[in-house]
Amino acid sequence: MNSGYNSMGNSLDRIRRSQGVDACKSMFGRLGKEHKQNAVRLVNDGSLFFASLFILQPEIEELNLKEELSERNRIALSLCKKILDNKGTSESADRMISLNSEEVHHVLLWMFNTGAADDGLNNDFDQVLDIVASVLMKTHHEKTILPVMTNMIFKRNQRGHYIHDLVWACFQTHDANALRLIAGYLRSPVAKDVDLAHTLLHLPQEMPSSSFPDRQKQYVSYLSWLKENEPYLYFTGESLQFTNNPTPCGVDLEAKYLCKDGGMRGRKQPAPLTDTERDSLTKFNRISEEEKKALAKHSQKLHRENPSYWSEWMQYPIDKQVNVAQYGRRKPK
Amino acid sequence: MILISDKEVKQAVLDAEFKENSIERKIIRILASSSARYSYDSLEQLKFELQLRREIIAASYELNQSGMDFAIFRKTRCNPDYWRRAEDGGFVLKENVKPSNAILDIFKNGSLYSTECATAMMIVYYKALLSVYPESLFNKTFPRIKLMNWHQIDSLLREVGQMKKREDYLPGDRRYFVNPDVNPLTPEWQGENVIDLGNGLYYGHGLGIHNPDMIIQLLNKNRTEDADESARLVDSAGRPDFKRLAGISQGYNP
Repeated sequence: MNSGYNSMGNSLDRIRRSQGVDACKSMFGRLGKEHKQNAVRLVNDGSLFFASLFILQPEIEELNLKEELSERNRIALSLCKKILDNKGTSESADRMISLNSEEVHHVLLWMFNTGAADDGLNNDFDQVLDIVASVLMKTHHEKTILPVMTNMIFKRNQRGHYIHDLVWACFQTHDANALRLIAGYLRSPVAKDVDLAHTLLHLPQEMPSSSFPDRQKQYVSYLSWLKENEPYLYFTGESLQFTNNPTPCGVDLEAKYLCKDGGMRGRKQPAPLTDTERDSLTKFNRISEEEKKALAKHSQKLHRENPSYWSEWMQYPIDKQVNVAQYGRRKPK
Repeated sequence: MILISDKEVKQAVLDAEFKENSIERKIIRILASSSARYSYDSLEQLKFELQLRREIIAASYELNQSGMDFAIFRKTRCNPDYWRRAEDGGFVLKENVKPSNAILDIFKNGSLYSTECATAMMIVYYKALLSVYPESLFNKTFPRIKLMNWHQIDSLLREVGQMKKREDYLPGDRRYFVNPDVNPLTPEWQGENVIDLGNGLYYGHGLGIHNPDMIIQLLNKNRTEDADESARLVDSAGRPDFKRLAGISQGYNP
């Protein structure tokens, strides 16, 4: 799996990978008893992968190495305890850890970026990865992990493993890049990938996708839709826990009609409107949903291609705007 | 407005079929006084929906009393005599096991099971159908069951997973409380799937039976420190296709 982390790890990682978890644990246990400082040095090594630290928790405890762990490892193990003891909000021994701190942010990134390669190690480990991803997304708005996360979602789905929390976390960024990355799987030769991409992008399942040209066409068409609507997207928060047919995002037609980028995204903090814009919206909201869609699409296109004509067009009465949007500059017969 | 074979039927006519203060009368009152048109092919079709809704509510109360525990999908448990635990945390009916026995076991030996709120909803629907259908029809209709949530659902129950805004919300509907500012350390509190019990109360597995304010309060306790958005009841509901399920029942010849 592409972990987004290029280091080969240290000797603990190499043994874990080549000889298995048990071999790694017994080697570390032996080393800790014979040369404690060497064991500490290895586990504190900057190139260590999170999975090795995770599996060595009982040995670290047994060898009484906790006090000698690096800050990265102490924070990582405290977070694991917090997650696996399910003490998200209640008082716990680790309550001093502030999820918002930059230090924790760096540790979370290390846990996820080096841990992703070992996704599937065991249920507890995978749960920790899910929660780490959620915190990175929701608390730190950390978008750099999106490619690795998306890859994990589709790999897990192929294996029939649990994906819902990871999918939920992926959409918590409220970032169109998540949609773009998922859209990449519309072209996959694996039917399960294509089905999941359809579900997550809210595309009809019955679209033809058996041949590569069909899948490529869908991909190109989705990206074109995304390019047109990205500035006006808002994320709904709908999840796989809520429905089997989630609509992760919608297009804010009012914003698209006024060509007001950003600001209105999320529908939480609408950008301040001028009196003219407010007046335009009042009229816009009186027409049918179909007309709104046509008008918003036309307005966005006109604004991009001919801003001065767009300004003129926006002054037209709403019915004339609809006519122009539906029939072009000529009046309908 | 209630229409049977395209003719409006008044509430009083239908009320006569059911006991005073019954859940059926309550549902009829909502349907009859609505501006929406609720159309049925026959009185039997309407009666089937009313009966199934009543059983959905009854199954919710029973499951709440069953001793079944709450667990996130990664930590679910089930009775291995009847179910195999799947990699995604769902329960798959074992071969050579009667579906009806496997569903009933959850209610008899609840302490052997733990799962999330969405799976509990599926258990409620199957138990309600088992109460309405003859056992042999139930076993014939649902020979393979996977209990998880809306994603590997039997095609006959697919609509339960499709949440839509409704003109009226009815006892027996599946509803959802969403918690947008949930603490990311506890994503299991991102929302609660519930059944509307028809008396101002909702059943949600793990939370129990409460009014909406209490459910919102419980969800709000699991938000981020800087949360500014409260949990809320979503303006939508999931419903099985009652008419299709009624058709199966009516077409059955034992």
